[in-house]
Amino acid sequence: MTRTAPVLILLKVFLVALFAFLLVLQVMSLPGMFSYRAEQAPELAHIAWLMLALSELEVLCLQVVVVCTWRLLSLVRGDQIFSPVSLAWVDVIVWAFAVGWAALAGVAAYLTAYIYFTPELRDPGVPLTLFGLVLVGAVFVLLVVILRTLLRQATVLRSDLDEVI
Amino acid sequence: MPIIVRIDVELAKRKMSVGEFAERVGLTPANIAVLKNGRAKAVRFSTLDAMCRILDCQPGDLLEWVDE
Repeated sequence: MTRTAPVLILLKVFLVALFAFLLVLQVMSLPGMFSYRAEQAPELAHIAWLMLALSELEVLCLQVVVVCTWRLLSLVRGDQIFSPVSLAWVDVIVWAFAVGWAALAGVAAYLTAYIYFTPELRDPGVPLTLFGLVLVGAVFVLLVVILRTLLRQATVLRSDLDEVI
Repeated sequence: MPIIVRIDVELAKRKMSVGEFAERVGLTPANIAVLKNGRAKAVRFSTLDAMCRILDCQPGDLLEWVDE
């Protein structure tokens, strides 16, 4: 545990910074950017509002993940990570990522269809980028699910070992 | 458990107190209690080694199987 202590402290510092950054993004940067886009191109205003809703949701999901990660790091420092408590926090992280991914996939599908059915917008660049993001997101979410089962197995092992006298 | 740990018998033979035994083996009195009342699920060989050494006996003197 002693060697992870400096990393834990550094990680918590960055988590605080990340949370503050997300907060600024959430309340100032994103609304301003997308309302400006909506003003610039009124015919695509509904796309801008959709992108605003999506990015706000994604930022919210990331904030939830940051908070849960903070709690898990505290459990690591107290050598409590292999206890049933940590699974609850990991579940929230999994759900936050799943919701974020589902929203991303839904919006990506809508945008791809919209671009396809609007001849003057038809271009493979944006749909390809969105498709790539959705794929990366899916791999990431499923990886977190695997990590969750590994944590559960380790928790069972730890509780078994704790009973050895 | 069908495995009984007979520490009390060996302790009585040697007139050793539970507290002294716990200290010399390096176990907490709570764990000794777990062993004695049959709630133990697993014992390390190193623990068994220490108990046999302190009591100068064989594992068979400490462990007994009964059909439940």
